[in-house]
Amino acid sequence: MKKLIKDWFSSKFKPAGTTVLRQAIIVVIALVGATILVYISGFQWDSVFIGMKGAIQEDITGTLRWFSPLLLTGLACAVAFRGGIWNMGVDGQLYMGAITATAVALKCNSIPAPILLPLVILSGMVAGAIWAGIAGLLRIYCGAKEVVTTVLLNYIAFHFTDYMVLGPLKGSGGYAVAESSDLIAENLWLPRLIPGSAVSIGLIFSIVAVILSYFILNVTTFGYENKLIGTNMAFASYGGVNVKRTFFVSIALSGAIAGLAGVIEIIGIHHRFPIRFSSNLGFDGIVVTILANNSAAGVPISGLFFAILRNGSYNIERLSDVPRTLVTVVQALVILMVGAKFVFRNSWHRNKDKENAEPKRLLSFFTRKEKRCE
Amino acid sequence: MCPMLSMKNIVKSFPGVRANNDVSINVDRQTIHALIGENGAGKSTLMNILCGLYQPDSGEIEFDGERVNIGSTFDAIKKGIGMVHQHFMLVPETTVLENVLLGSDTPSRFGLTDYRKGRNLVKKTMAQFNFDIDLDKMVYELSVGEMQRVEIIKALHRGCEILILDEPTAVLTPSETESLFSVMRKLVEMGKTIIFISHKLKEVLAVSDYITVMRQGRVSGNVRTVDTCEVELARMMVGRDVVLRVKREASVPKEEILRLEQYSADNDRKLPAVREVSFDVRAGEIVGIAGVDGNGQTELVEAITGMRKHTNGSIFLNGKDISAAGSLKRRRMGISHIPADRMVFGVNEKCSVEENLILSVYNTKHYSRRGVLLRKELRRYATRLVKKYQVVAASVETRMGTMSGGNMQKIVVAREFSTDPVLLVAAQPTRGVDVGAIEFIHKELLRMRDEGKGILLISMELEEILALADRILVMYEGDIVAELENKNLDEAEIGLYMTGAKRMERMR
Repeated sequence: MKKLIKDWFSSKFKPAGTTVLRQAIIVVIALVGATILVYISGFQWDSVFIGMKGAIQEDITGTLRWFSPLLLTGLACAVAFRGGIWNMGVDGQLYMGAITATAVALKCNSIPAPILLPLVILSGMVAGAIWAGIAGLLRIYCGAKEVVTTVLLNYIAFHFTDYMVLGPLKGSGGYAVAESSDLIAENLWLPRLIPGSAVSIGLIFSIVAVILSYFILNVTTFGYENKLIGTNMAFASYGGVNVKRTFFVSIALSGAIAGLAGVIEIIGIHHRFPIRFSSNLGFDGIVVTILANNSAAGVPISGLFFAILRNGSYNIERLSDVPRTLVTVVQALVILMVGAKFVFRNSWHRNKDKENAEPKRLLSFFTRKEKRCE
Repeated sequence: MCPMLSMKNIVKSFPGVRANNDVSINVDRQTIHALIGENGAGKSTLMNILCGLYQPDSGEIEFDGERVNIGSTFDAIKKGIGMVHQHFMLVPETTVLENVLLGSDTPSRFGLTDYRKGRNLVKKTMAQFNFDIDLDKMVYELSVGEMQRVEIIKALHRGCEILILDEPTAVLTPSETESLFSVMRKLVEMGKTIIFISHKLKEVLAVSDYITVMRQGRVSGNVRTVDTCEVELARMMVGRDVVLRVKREASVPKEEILRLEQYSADNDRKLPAVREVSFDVRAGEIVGIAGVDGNGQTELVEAITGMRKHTNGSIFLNGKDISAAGSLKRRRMGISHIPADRMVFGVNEKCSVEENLILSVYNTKHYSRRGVLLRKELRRYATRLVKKYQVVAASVETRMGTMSGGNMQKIVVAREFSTDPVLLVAAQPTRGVDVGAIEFIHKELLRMRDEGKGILLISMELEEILALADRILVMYEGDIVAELENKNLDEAEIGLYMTGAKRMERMR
């Protein structure tokens, strides 16, 4: 034990240790900030902690229910961000995956379930990958920044799925107030992991996806190339890395994971496509990744934190009149803190970062459209 | 008389290294004081302490015999210390005037900068020191030499008395260097004091009054410039006798490795930069390309390595037409490349030493299987290279950005030499590295040549070309204007070719 503590403080463990510590401090400050806001607003001051305590002690299954999609959307962002790709369209990709899976499940019901189920999952992932891939191609061939196009594609996805649910896939109704598709066949529902709760074996899928992604990012040539284009594109192309292909594969993989999140929400939770069901899972994924420092290994930890927070705030809203937007406040504070860290670091090591400054002669195909004046 | 600036017994440690170990230095008023040493000897640390960027663990700083405490960069500026960093601290998208006024004590009206008053003040400073530069030009329009002058004006405008120049000549052409030196002499005449950090012994000897040499965090020598010579300085820097000019045996060129035929390429602005050049490189010879920076060398290198598309002509490697091959394919066929721009192409600062070293091998049969990296093999490979090339790094997991320039270059060299290339394209292989590392890299290049590789050496330093090349091509405005055997050459004549004043008859 003594040695462990010593090792922790020795240089060997310091990098990982300090990162975890720093992120933990960010979380604490964000929670304190939220508490102050809750108090100022005239609610019971410790609502945040009561909610989180409930989410851990009493309603662990509710927490796990949110843990699963947050793992996947967080992971989707991590894969992209690590490659320097600003995929802001996880929500849209999730919707496209979900609607495709729903359509396949409803329309191909003549195929036996053991074959249809993998088909449903795969089709959703492919749809997510295509949706993200469009943004990738726009960047590669037209120089349009993916940070903009993915956001715009989100809106197309929202309205497209609205149309599908209100039109071609409109359910016969009768079981719910909200507009939604018909229920998919019961033999396509993912079995419950914990009976009587909303936790399906989708959670296992999510965990496997994290492990698989960790492996892909850290042990494969693709993972190495992904890191290279994310840190120095000029260096990557100099080394013969096919930057365009790596960029495309990275963003498509990110979209596929987002699509999987959508599929699992459908076949694991809702069993139909309720209109606009996602409740910001894609956006939350961004925050999960940011807190996880863009690493696949950190996603489970920060994903669990946000799952607790989200479930806790849902519960507290049910019990008192503290609004659930509390989560959004905490998330915003986390983003602010991470942003502040960034600013501090940059002003501390200004001359160091000057050297790291954006390579001027980046690949011509990425800069061609924007920076001709130089 | 007490010195103007004196730093006494400065100690500064970073995790794992003692960057400054009991360093003392005295700088007299109105002198040019050179500070030299290998990469990582502690020069930059010492200067950063003087500028207030770092706080020393112990030691004192005195100005005119008075003890001062420099707690921040702001303090340093107030005390009259100005620094021109090696990598300029300018905002490219704003004008010269805005850059000079930024952060200085500027007259303001209603909280807004009063540019009219500011302009007059800056003009006064410039007139005083004989500078001439268009204040309304955007910084990105300036040449590197002009940017440097803007940095100096900036420092002077803030009222600096001591001007620190951190490797100012590393980015300059020979003529720009000359004019920088005259500016420096002028400033000293006008009462300023200059601390000049450099690697280049010739320049130090040409311009400075006193020289302080640092080695491994300590001062290893303090001399008056008139009392010393290159060999002595090199010995103080490295701690042993250094061969400043490696011995080169005559080469025995064998079969042709690389051939270019009417090869052309455009620059980033889509203007022709390389104009139908034809030449060959044979096994066992070093072909040097001399020329003033910006005459198409960069574009030529990129077009040969496949990073830039050629617009005309063809390229043959071992007799095979590789015109259609991309950069990865050319790499696989045995073209290695030491890029001129180390910070952009040569290394990835955000990755580890290992990740930098494996770039040239990570997707070869031996180091990855079906897309999965063989981590153990790669680790062994990286560790071996670090040892073989004497890279100073705590481990192969050290982040590249924390290393000194010379060590970075060693890693680039290690990576590019270790793939058993057929052709090595070495662009500025020794830019910004110290004499010890230069000697090492030069020796390695000659060893590669003797092993029968073809080497194309591109350098702005004519001396480097003369020391290493067997055959010299001179490039001017994208053209090869002369081809010379490296035997009893007249440097002045090469200079004429380099500046376009002369051109060989058969090259037309």
